[in-house]
Amino acid sequence: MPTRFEQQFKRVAVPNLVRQFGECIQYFPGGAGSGRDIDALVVRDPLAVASEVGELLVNALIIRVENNECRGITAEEIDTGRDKVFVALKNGGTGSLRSIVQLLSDANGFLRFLVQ
Amino acid sequence: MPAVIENIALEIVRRLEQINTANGYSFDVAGVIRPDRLSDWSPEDGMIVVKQGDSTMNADSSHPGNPPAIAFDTEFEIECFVRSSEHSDVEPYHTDQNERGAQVIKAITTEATDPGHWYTFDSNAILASIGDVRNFGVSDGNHNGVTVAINVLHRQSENDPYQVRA
Repeated sequence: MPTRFEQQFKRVAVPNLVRQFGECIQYFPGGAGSGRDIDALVVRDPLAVASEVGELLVNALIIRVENNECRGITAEEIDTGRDKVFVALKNGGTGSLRSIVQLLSDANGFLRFLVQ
Repeated sequence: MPAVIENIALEIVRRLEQINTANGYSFDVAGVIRPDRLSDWSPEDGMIVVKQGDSTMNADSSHPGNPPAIAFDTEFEIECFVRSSEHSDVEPYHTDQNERGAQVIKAITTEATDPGHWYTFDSNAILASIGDVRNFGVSDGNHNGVTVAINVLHRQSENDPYQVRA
Protein backbone atom coordinates (compact mmCIF):
# COMPACT_ATOMS: atom_id res chain seq x y z
CA MET A 1 0.00 0.00 0.00
CA PRO A 2 1.70 3.22 -1.10
CA THR A 3 1.86 6.05 1.40
CA ARG A 4 0.14 9.35 0.79
CA PHE A 5 3.52 10.94 0.13
CA GLU A 6 4.33 8.34 -2.49
CA GLN A 7 1.00 8.91 -4.21
CA GLN A 8 1.49 12.67 -4.22
CA PHE A 9 5.04 12.34 -5.43
CA LYS A 10 4.00 10.07 -8.27
CA ARG A 11 1.11 12.29 -9.34
CA VAL A 12 2.71 15.70 -9.02
CA ALA A 13 6.46 15.61 -8.58
CA VAL A 14 7.43 13.00 -11.13
CA PRO A 15 5.78 14.63 -14.19
CA ASN A 16 7.09 18.04 -13.15
CA LEU A 17 10.63 16.85 -12.57
CA VAL A 18 10.68 15.11 -15.94
CA ARG A 19 9.19 18.16 -17.66
CA GLN A 20 11.59 20.53 -15.95
CA PHE A 21 14.84 18.61 -16.19
CA GLY A 22 14.22 15.89 -18.75
CA GLU A 23 15.40 15.46 -22.28
CA CYS A 24 13.84 13.56 -25.13
CA ILE A 25 15.11 10.04 -25.77
CA GLN A 26 13.67 7.25 -27.86
CA TYR A 27 12.66 3.90 -26.43
CA PHE A 28 12.82 0.79 -28.61
CA PRO A 29 10.93 -2.16 -27.14
CA GLY A 30 12.67 -5.32 -28.25
CA GLY A 31 15.59 -3.27 -29.51
CA ALA A 32 14.19 -2.81 -32.99
CA GLY A 33 11.26 -1.41 -34.92
CA SER A 34 9.98 2.07 -34.40
CA GLY A 35 10.90 3.84 -31.21
CA ARG A 36 8.70 6.05 -29.12
CA ASP A 37 9.71 9.44 -27.81
CA ILE A 38 9.77 9.83 -24.06
CA ASP A 39 11.13 12.44 -21.72
CA ALA A 40 13.81 11.17 -19.37
CA LEU A 41 16.21 12.32 -16.69
CA VAL A 42 19.62 11.15 -17.80
CA VAL A 43 22.58 10.85 -15.44
CA ARG A 44 25.78 10.46 -17.39
CA ASP A 45 28.25 8.56 -15.29
CA PRO A 46 31.96 8.17 -15.97
CA LEU A 47 33.10 5.04 -17.74
CA ALA A 48 32.23 1.90 -15.81
CA VAL A 49 34.11 -1.35 -15.70
CA ALA A 50 32.39 -4.35 -17.19
CA SER A 51 34.15 -6.76 -14.87
CA GLU A 52 32.46 -9.84 -16.27
CA VAL A 53 34.41 -9.45 -19.49
CA GLY A 54 37.79 -8.85 -17.95
CA GLU A 55 37.83 -5.22 -16.89
CA LEU A 56 36.66 -3.79 -20.18
CA LEU A 57 35.45 -0.21 -19.98
CA VAL A 58 31.91 0.57 -20.96
CA ASN A 59 29.82 3.72 -20.88
CA ALA A 60 27.06 3.78 -18.30
CA LEU A 61 23.99 5.98 -18.03
CA ILE A 62 21.31 5.94 -15.37
CA ILE A 63 17.97 6.98 -16.74
CA ARG A 64 14.75 7.84 -14.94
CA VAL A 65 11.44 7.94 -16.75
CA GLU A 66 7.86 8.00 -15.65
CA ASN A 67 6.59 4.56 -14.74
CA ASN A 68 3.61 4.64 -17.05
CA GLU A 69 2.83 3.58 -20.57
CA CYS A 70 1.70 6.95 -21.90
CA ARG A 71 4.63 9.21 -21.11
CA GLY A 72 7.27 6.71 -20.02
CA ILE A 73 7.90 3.00 -19.66
CA THR A 74 6.17 0.60 -17.32
CA ALA A 75 8.09 -1.78 -15.10
CA GLU A 76 6.02 -4.57 -16.57
CA GLU A 77 6.91 -3.93 -20.20
CA ILE A 78 10.62 -3.22 -19.87
CA ASP A 79 12.88 -6.05 -21.06
CA THR A 80 16.43 -5.69 -19.82
CA GLY A 81 17.59 -8.37 -22.21
CA ARG A 82 16.41 -6.74 -25.43
CA ASP A 83 15.19 -3.16 -25.08
CA LYS A 84 17.27 -0.21 -26.21
CA VAL A 85 17.18 3.54 -26.00
CA PHE A 86 18.48 6.12 -28.40
CA VAL A 87 20.37 8.56 -26.23
CA ALA A 88 23.43 10.79 -26.42
CA LEU A 89 26.47 9.82 -24.37
CA LYS A 90 27.33 13.48 -23.92
CA ASN A 91 24.82 16.18 -23.09
CA GLY A 92 23.77 17.77 -26.37
CA GLY A 93 25.73 15.24 -28.37
CA THR A 94 24.69 12.88 -31.10
CA GLY A 95 22.59 9.98 -29.94
CA SER A 96 23.25 6.30 -30.41
CA LEU A 97 21.33 3.12 -29.77
CA ARG A 98 22.29 1.57 -26.43
CA SER A 99 21.09 -1.41 -24.43
CA ILE A 100 19.05 -1.26 -21.24
CA VAL A 101 20.91 -3.72 -19.04
CA GLN A 102 19.39 -3.50 -15.58
CA LEU A 103 16.24 -2.29 -13.89
CA LEU A 104 17.36 -0.45 -10.77
CA SER A 105 14.05 0.54 -9.19
CA ASP A 106 10.41 1.17 -9.98
CA ALA A 107 9.28 3.01 -6.87
CA ASN A 108 7.30 6.23 -6.46
CA GLY A 109 6.33 6.69 -10.08
CA PHE A 110 9.84 6.61 -11.45
CA LEU A 111 11.40 3.80 -13.41
CA ARG A 112 15.15 3.89 -12.97
CA PHE A 113 17.37 1.75 -15.16
CA LEU A 114 20.97 1.30 -16.23
CA VAL A 115 21.99 1.75 -19.84
CA GLN A 116 25.34 0.69 -21.23
CA MET B 1 50.64 -2.40 -44.06
CA PRO B 2 49.70 -3.68 -40.59
CA ALA B 3 52.17 -5.53 -38.40
CA VAL B 4 52.00 -9.32 -38.27
CA ILE B 5 50.12 -9.41 -34.99
CA GLU B 6 47.62 -6.85 -36.26
CA ASN B 7 47.01 -8.95 -39.36
CA ILE B 8 46.23 -11.91 -37.11
CA ALA B 9 43.80 -9.84 -35.05
CA LEU B 10 42.09 -8.55 -38.20
CA GLU B 11 41.76 -12.08 -39.53
CA ILE B 12 40.15 -13.22 -36.27
CA VAL B 13 37.67 -10.36 -36.50
CA ARG B 14 36.98 -11.12 -40.16
CA ARG B 15 36.19 -14.75 -39.41
CA LEU B 16 33.91 -13.88 -36.52
CA GLU B 17 32.03 -11.41 -38.70
CA GLN B 18 31.04 -14.34 -40.90
CA ILE B 19 28.80 -15.70 -38.14
CA ASN B 20 25.26 -15.41 -39.42
CA THR B 21 22.50 -17.79 -40.29
CA ALA B 22 23.00 -17.22 -44.02
CA ASN B 23 26.48 -18.73 -43.67
CA GLY B 24 25.21 -21.78 -41.81
CA TYR B 25 25.70 -20.61 -38.26
CA SER B 26 23.02 -20.80 -35.59
CA PHE B 27 22.86 -17.11 -34.77
CA ASP B 28 23.59 -13.72 -36.26
CA VAL B 29 26.49 -11.92 -34.69
CA ALA B 30 25.39 -8.48 -33.46
CA GLY B 31 28.83 -6.99 -34.10
CA VAL B 32 32.48 -7.77 -33.56
CA ILE B 33 34.35 -5.08 -31.70
CA ARG B 34 37.80 -4.49 -30.34
CA PRO B 35 38.11 -2.29 -27.26
CA ASP B 36 38.82 1.37 -27.92
CA ARG B 37 39.61 4.33 -25.72
CA LEU B 38 36.13 5.81 -25.70
CA SER B 39 34.49 2.44 -25.09
CA ASP B 40 31.77 3.37 -27.52
CA TRP B 41 30.08 0.00 -27.52
CA SER B 42 26.91 -1.29 -26.01
CA PRO B 43 26.49 -4.89 -24.87
CA GLU B 44 23.80 -6.80 -26.70
CA ASP B 45 22.86 -10.36 -27.37
CA GLY B 46 25.21 -11.96 -29.88
CA MET B 47 27.85 -9.25 -29.66
CA ILE B 48 31.46 -10.37 -29.68
CA VAL B 49 34.37 -8.53 -28.10
CA VAL B 50 37.86 -9.53 -29.22
CA LYS B 51 40.49 -8.89 -26.58
CA GLN B 52 44.18 -9.25 -27.18
CA GLY B 53 46.66 -10.21 -24.50
CA ASP B 54 50.37 -9.59 -24.28
CA SER B 55 52.77 -11.09 -26.78
CA THR B 56 55.31 -13.22 -24.92
CA MET B 57 58.56 -14.12 -26.61
CA ASN B 58 58.91 -17.81 -27.32
CA ALA B 59 62.61 -18.66 -27.29
CA ASP B 60 62.11 -22.27 -28.38
CA SER B 61 60.39 -21.26 -31.60
CA SER B 62 62.69 -18.36 -32.40
CA HIS B 63 65.70 -19.08 -34.55
CA PRO B 64 68.94 -17.38 -35.42
CA GLY B 65 69.73 -15.75 -38.74
CA ASN B 66 70.44 -12.40 -40.18
CA PRO B 67 68.15 -10.96 -39.07
CA PRO B 68 66.97 -13.48 -36.47
CA ALA B 69 63.37 -14.63 -36.42
CA ILE B 70 61.60 -13.94 -33.14
CA ALA B 71 58.55 -15.96 -32.15
CA PHE B 72 55.79 -14.77 -29.87
CA ASP B 73 52.85 -16.36 -28.11
CA THR B 74 49.77 -14.18 -28.04
CA GLU B 75 46.49 -15.04 -26.41
CA PHE B 76 43.24 -13.67 -27.76
CA GLU B 77 40.05 -13.84 -25.78
CA ILE B 78 36.78 -13.87 -27.65
CA GLU B 79 33.87 -12.82 -25.47
CA CYS B 80 30.42 -13.59 -26.82
CA PHE B 81 27.47 -12.06 -24.99
CA VAL B 82 24.28 -13.92 -24.18
CA ARG B 83 21.54 -11.54 -23.08
CA SER B 84 18.27 -13.36 -22.73
CA SER B 85 14.90 -11.69 -23.09
CA GLU B 86 12.81 -11.45 -19.93
CA HIS B 87 9.63 -12.07 -21.89
CA SER B 88 10.40 -14.79 -24.38
CA ASP B 89 13.61 -16.69 -23.71
CA VAL B 90 13.03 -19.79 -21.65
CA GLU B 91 16.19 -21.72 -22.48
CA PRO B 92 18.71 -22.06 -19.67
CA TYR B 93 21.44 -19.55 -20.45
CA HIS B 94 24.07 -22.26 -20.31
CA THR B 95 22.42 -23.79 -23.36
CA ASP B 96 22.94 -20.55 -25.27
CA GLN B 97 26.47 -20.20 -23.94
CA ASN B 98 27.40 -23.71 -25.03
CA GLU B 99 26.01 -23.05 -28.49
CA ARG B 100 27.68 -19.66 -28.87
CA GLY B 101 31.01 -21.07 -27.74
CA ALA B 102 30.74 -23.86 -30.29
CA GLN B 103 29.86 -21.43 -33.05
CA VAL B 104 32.79 -19.17 -32.20
CA ILE B 105 35.17 -22.13 -32.41
CA LYS B 106 33.60 -23.18 -35.69
CA ALA B 107 34.06 -19.70 -37.13
CA ILE B 108 37.66 -19.41 -35.98
CA THR B 109 38.62 -22.80 -37.39
CA THR B 110 36.92 -22.17 -40.71
CA GLU B 111 38.96 -20.53 -43.39
CA ALA B 112 37.44 -20.27 -46.83
CA THR B 113 40.68 -20.00 -48.77
CA ASP B 114 42.73 -22.66 -46.99
CA PRO B 115 40.46 -24.83 -44.84
CA GLY B 116 43.19 -27.21 -43.69
CA HIS B 117 45.34 -24.44 -42.30
CA TRP B 118 42.99 -22.34 -40.21
CA TYR B 119 45.70 -21.99 -37.58
CA THR B 120 47.91 -19.85 -39.82
CA PHE B 121 45.40 -17.01 -39.89
CA ASP B 122 45.94 -16.21 -43.53
CA SER B 123 49.62 -17.17 -43.45
CA ASN B 124 50.45 -14.86 -40.55
CA ALA B 125 50.92 -17.44 -37.78
CA ILE B 126 52.78 -20.69 -37.34
CA LEU B 127 50.34 -22.39 -35.06
CA ALA B 128 47.20 -21.69 -33.12
CA SER B 129 45.15 -23.65 -30.66
CA ILE B 130 41.83 -23.27 -28.92
CA GLY B 131 42.36 -22.62 -25.23
CA ASP B 132 39.98 -22.47 -22.30
CA VAL B 133 36.29 -21.99 -22.85
CA ARG B 134 34.91 -20.14 -19.85
CA ASN B 135 31.47 -18.93 -18.94
CA PHE B 136 31.10 -15.45 -17.62
CA GLY B 137 28.27 -13.81 -15.76
CA VAL B 138 27.53 -11.32 -13.06
CA SER B 139 25.59 -11.82 -9.88
CA ASP B 140 22.91 -9.28 -10.79
CA GLY B 141 22.27 -11.08 -14.06
CA ASN B 142 23.01 -8.20 -16.43
CA HIS B 143 25.13 -10.23 -18.78
CA ASN B 144 26.07 -13.77 -19.43
CA GLY B 145 28.28 -15.16 -22.08
CA VAL B 146 31.14 -17.33 -23.02
CA THR B 147 34.83 -16.64 -23.46
CA VAL B 148 36.90 -18.65 -25.91
CA ALA B 149 40.66 -18.30 -25.64
CA ILE B 150 42.90 -18.72 -28.66
CA ASN B 151 46.63 -19.12 -28.32
CA VAL B 152 48.53 -18.00 -31.39
CA LEU B 153 52.21 -18.61 -32.09
CA HIS B 154 53.65 -16.26 -34.71
CA ARG B 155 57.11 -15.39 -35.88
CA GLN B 156 58.54 -12.25 -37.42
CA SER B 157 61.87 -10.73 -38.31
CA GLU B 158 63.64 -9.18 -35.36
CA ASN B 159 64.05 -5.87 -37.16
CA ASP B 160 60.86 -5.98 -39.20
CA PRO B 161 57.67 -6.77 -37.27
CA TYR B 162 55.78 -6.51 -40.54
CA GLN B 163 57.54 -9.50 -42.08
CA VAL B 164 56.32 -13.02 -41.36
CA ARG B 165 59.10 -15.58 -40.94
CA ALA B 166 58.57 -19.23 -41.63
